[in-house]
Amino acid sequence: MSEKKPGVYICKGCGIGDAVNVDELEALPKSEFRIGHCVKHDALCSPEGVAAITKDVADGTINRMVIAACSHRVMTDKFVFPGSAVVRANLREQVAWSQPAGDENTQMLAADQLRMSISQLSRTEQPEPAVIADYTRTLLVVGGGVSGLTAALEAAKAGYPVLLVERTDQLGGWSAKWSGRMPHRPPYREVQENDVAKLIARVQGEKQITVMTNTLVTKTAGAPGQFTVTLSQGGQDKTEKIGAIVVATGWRPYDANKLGHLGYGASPDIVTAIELEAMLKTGELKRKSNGQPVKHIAFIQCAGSRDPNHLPYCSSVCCGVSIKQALQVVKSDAKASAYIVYEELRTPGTAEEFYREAQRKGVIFMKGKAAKVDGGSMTVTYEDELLGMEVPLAGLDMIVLATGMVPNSTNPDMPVIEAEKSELQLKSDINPAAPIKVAGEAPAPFPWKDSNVPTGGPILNLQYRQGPHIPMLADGFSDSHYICFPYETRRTGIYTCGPVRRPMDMGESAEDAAGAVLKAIQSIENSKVGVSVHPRVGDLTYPKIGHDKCTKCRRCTVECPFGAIDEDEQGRPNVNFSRCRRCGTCMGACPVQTITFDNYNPQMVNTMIEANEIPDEFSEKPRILILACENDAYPAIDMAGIGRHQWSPFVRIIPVRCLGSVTLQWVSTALQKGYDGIMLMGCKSGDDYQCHFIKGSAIAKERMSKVGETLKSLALEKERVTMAEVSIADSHSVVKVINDFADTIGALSPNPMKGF
Amino acid sequence: MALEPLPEVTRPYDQSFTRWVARNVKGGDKLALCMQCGTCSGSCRTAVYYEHGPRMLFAMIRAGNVHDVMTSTTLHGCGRCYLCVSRCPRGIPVAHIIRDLGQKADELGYSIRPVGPDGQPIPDAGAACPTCAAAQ
Repeated sequence: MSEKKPGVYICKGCGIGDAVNVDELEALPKSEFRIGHCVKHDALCSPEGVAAITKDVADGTINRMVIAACSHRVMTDKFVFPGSAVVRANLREQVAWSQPAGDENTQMLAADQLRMSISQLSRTEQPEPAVIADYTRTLLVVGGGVSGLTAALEAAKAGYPVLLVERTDQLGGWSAKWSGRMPHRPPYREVQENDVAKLIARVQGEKQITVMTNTLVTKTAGAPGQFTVTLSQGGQDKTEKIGAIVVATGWRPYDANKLGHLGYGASPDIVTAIELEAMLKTGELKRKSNGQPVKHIAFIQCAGSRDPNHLPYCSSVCCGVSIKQALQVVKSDAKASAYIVYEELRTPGTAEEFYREAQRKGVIFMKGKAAKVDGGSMTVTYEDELLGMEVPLAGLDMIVLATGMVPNSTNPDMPVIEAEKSELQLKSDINPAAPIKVAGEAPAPFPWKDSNVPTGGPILNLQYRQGPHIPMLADGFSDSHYICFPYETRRTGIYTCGPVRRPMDMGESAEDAAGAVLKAIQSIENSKVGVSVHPRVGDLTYPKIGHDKCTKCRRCTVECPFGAIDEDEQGRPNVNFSRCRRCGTCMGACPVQTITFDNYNPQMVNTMIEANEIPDEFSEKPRILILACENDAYPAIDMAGIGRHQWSPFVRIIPVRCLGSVTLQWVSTALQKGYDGIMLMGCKSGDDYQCHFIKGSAIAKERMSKVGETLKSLALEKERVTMAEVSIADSHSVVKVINDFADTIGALSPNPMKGF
Repeated sequence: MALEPLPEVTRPYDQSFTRWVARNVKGGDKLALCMQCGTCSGSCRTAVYYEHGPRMLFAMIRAGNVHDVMTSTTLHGCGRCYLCVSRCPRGIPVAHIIRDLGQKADELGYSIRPVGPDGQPIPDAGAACPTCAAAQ
């Protein structure tokens, strides 16, 4: 590493020059940090400003710099100087725009922002990426249904070789069994031809795609770009090098034998939608009991769905399926009548057209919950919500139960390994502990039930420290967040699509597959050049573990939200770089602070905390430290500044990659330095988390529960350290959260450690 | 046009009665537009005094509850404020359907009359609304 030549650039634009005395700030780097090169400029982001910095870099005056201007979240394209480390000091959003101009406290805040950034620079290295030399571009697609077939086609179209693995002897999955499909083309009124055979033919005609039927994945090891997958075809094992994996294992129907209360099993004429579909496919729609034609048919919606005793969720497609089947029945026999007993009919989007078509064709919709089904007299009694009374629907020829979808997030063909069926491995140990202060409104978390986990063995049988399963959400679906991070499982390089991710129909599955494939391709390409995938896209750093100091406590390998860290034979942590998403949770977990990133490490934040000037206890200027998650809380605070909301001038905000990366040592450093209060600001935790790194705030909450003892040993009040949940949309309420905490701290006596 | 005899309904939601209403009642063909939102019942000043609100009456027609519909006091309780007609989001002439259905019920021999708060039958004329009756 060449000699470090730091420089400081202070911008006067956007009101910074009016709010603070820039001349005073300009003298600070030299007087306190012996940095001679400090330049102020009217607008650093202007072409002239950037040119001035570029010139200094080019002629070798500096090779690392602090840019004291706007938040590091903006102007990221302007302040890039290859080969030079850049640290940004936030003088605009969090000083000039959110504090009164010309105030003494504002000036102190600006000076502290500069001190923190210069200290940050002193611990920042230019990162060197961990590049995988022998990466593979082949994609593995697990599952040969609509999602899997589409995924394979999309990947092949993008120029990537694909290995498509199907556990049965033919492609098509469930969709090959359907007699027709719900409309997916305008005018969205007619039952359309099942075109899955064409899709299969296209896949078989594609040279880039290798299809393996009757094949199970028995073992998966490695990391994105270099997975080693063992496949078993007819008892013969085969090992393949794989770049990324798309899991499209689909779904299985909910076990109708559990639906005795809806008459399943009481009569051969009470069937599930799947059984009816088989009859419609062969064209022989007859009563199973006596072979008579079906004249009156009733569909019971939500059979075992949206029911706390069965599937708690809505499978979203059953309403459309029943409408399709009712239309097929009415179309084949003009005298037949079809009744659909529904609680709420869910026909999103264009399916509404299909629903209206069914009404026009005379399908009868009855709103109410089925109360009783009598298999003997073939009567459905339901509570009619519009009439406010029980209505018996007697003399039916067939009763169809519209059962829901269970995700194939486990493989029903593989044995359940009891030792591995622990909640910890499936949920990846999210543990919502005691309630904490929430800035927004939050509903109660979804209760986790073991029965929500589909039974079966692991799909990929991952050879990971954290177990063989792909972690699931509370309903048993394999995803990490339905809205924020679709397709991304909690295992980097493994992406889910189709009904294994959430219930969906054939059209949605095909769209989903394209999305997952794009994610998988990104993962391969990123692992090739050693940069992180979403959400820290482009990050070149990675956790470096100092093996000489490591105590083999295994906390990092257990707490990693993405199972990126394995253990070698001697029990030492072994980071799989391309599996890592750079959240720093391992760094926060490490009790000896030996896990570091090139531009983010425990020592760096320690130095930043210590750099600030703490006024003495008689000045009535308390100091509050906020460690803010830079994904949600820090942007929310920036947004509050952009909205010109003002907050306490006594807070000092340090962005952290994730609350999971916060070590208790930073808290004790701050308390010993003389900060009066410390607040951790992160995302919502629990089963309905919003944390970008799954469980960072949950982990921080657990760690902070242990801070009480530290406070007690220092004879400090426990109110001094707190935690708040802030979402990116909370820019209004975050100001109140900060000010309320500042009031609480103001009411306490000053931290007695000041000045020691 | 001669009034058709009432159909026999064999199963709930049998459409024969709905079709009878569509053919025989003025505005009855618009009934198919009803989406059961309940705006009519929410607007009706007199619904609280009678057996069913307009929404419920329409639901009963669809369900084929012939007897309950034809003997409902609602058929003769309309106060002619026409709020339901002006507010119906689907433009169904609710009050007109109810009034004409009441006439057809009379013709078919269902002579049920609502009774006011004073125990006297309410005259089937413009001022049937008991709110006004009480105010007078």
